[in-house]
Amino acid sequence: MLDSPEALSSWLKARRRQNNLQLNLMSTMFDLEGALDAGQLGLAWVSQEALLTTGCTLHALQRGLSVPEGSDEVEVTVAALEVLAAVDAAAADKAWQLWLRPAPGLGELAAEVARTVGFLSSELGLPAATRAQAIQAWADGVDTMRRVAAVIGLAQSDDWYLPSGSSPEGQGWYESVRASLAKDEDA
Amino acid sequence: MNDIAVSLPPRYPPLLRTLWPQVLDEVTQLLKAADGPISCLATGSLVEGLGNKSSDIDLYVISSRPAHRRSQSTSIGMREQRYVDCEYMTLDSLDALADRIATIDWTNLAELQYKDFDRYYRISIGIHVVRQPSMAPVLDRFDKDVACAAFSRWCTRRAVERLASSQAHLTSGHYRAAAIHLRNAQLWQASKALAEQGEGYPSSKWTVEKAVRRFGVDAEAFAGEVFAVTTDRSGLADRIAQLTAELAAPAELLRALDRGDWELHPDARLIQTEQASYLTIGSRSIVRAGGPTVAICALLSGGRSWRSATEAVGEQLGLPAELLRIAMSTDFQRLHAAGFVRPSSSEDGAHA
Repeated sequence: MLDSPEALSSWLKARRRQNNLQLNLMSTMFDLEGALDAGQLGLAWVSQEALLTTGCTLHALQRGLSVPEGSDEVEVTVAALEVLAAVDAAAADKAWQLWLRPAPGLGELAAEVARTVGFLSSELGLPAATRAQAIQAWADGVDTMRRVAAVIGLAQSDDWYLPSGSSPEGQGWYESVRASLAKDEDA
Repeated sequence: MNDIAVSLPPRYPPLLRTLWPQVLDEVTQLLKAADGPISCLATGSLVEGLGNKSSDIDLYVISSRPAHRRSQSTSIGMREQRYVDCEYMTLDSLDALADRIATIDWTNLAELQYKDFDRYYRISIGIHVVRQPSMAPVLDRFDKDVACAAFSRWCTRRAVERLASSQAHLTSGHYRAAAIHLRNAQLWQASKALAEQGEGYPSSKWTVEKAVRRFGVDAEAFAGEVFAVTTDRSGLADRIAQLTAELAAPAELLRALDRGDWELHPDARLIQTEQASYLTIGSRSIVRAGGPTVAICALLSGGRSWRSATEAVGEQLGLPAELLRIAMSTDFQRLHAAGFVRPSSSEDGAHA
């Protein structure tokens, strides 16, 4: 099986945007899990909305669709759902329903958040079921992009990653992320 | 040269106190990598007292020299249960930011972005883990009260823009989009009220938690109000009218938001089919457009001025032209950035 060939520069540009969205997904998972644990209703509700927007945008981009970029989260949300509707009306309708729910009480919060996470992971197939899954997907995406970028000689400085003080000498960023994931799972 | 302030003043929350040794470890690592004198601030939700056990550790590294040796302006590191987020900035850029925030008024809000307010506030509450005496005059310019006052104006602006967008979607029959814009307007309006009371941490994700802390409100009741959703026509219209009245935006702000005055680029063409409408420019770019944007572009392509076109479309929609122009500002700024439209050269502009 073979995808259609495309220009490497446009492939890298698209992957960079997807990786940024995956990074958003990951950081939002931290917010969501922390909020649920601390009973922070507002943070949890805004976080699940952010997951929904980021997830629908990422899903559309991964299917080769074009979603306008912008810093305005509401415009991006509407645009992503409109794009999704053009290829999967049922999924877009579900996303709209989830978006337009009233905020639940604390008693129903976990179940309502689980509906959003379930939609993204089961129906859209995104790596959003757990925080660990989101971290792994982000790291894998960055790793792939950097390996491909290296082929065409793009700068590959590692100063975007902060190793921890306890990281073994010479450990690369990818191994460092894997190690922190393993420790997190053991904790 | 890069001495760490080891102790944490007692006013900070228990969670930050627990994490403080880890913060110091992170700063120590940053100092090892620094190629000259830096100041380092710990900031973010943990310092603000809103964060939880999964919140990231936010660090700002400030240098007097441009960060020309860095390939990124930010860096992150994964840790157990959280991640570390570090931003690099120059002292000159912070001095300029402090100037811009200090001189903010209703007319120049548009020259700032959300990230400016976010950065200013975070510096104003930051803990100076490493502080170069030579940087103190600039760092001490950042004041939380100034941050809150400036941010409340920004929130007013965003609420006005959201209400205008909601109204435009409503009159175009796009109720779900109207609802989502209206919901966001409610959040901005609540953020404005909170900033006026000293709760100016800019990220809207903390709106409910700020209200609980400041006013002792019931989280469920407040969340029910601020996240309330209406999707039927009359409910949307009523709520937009109610919020608009409560917001009472100054006329000066409305005039500032209504500054746009656009014309189509001579090479731009509007193509309307039964399925969709597109704008093209030469053989370079194409963009799909919808709603009032298409109607306005159609009139612009027929030679109408920006003011005349928006008044005509506003009349068709039953929407005041001023509100329509505010609602359309994001779309037309994007079209401008992509070259489809340009500032009008005619004397018949919005404020000619």
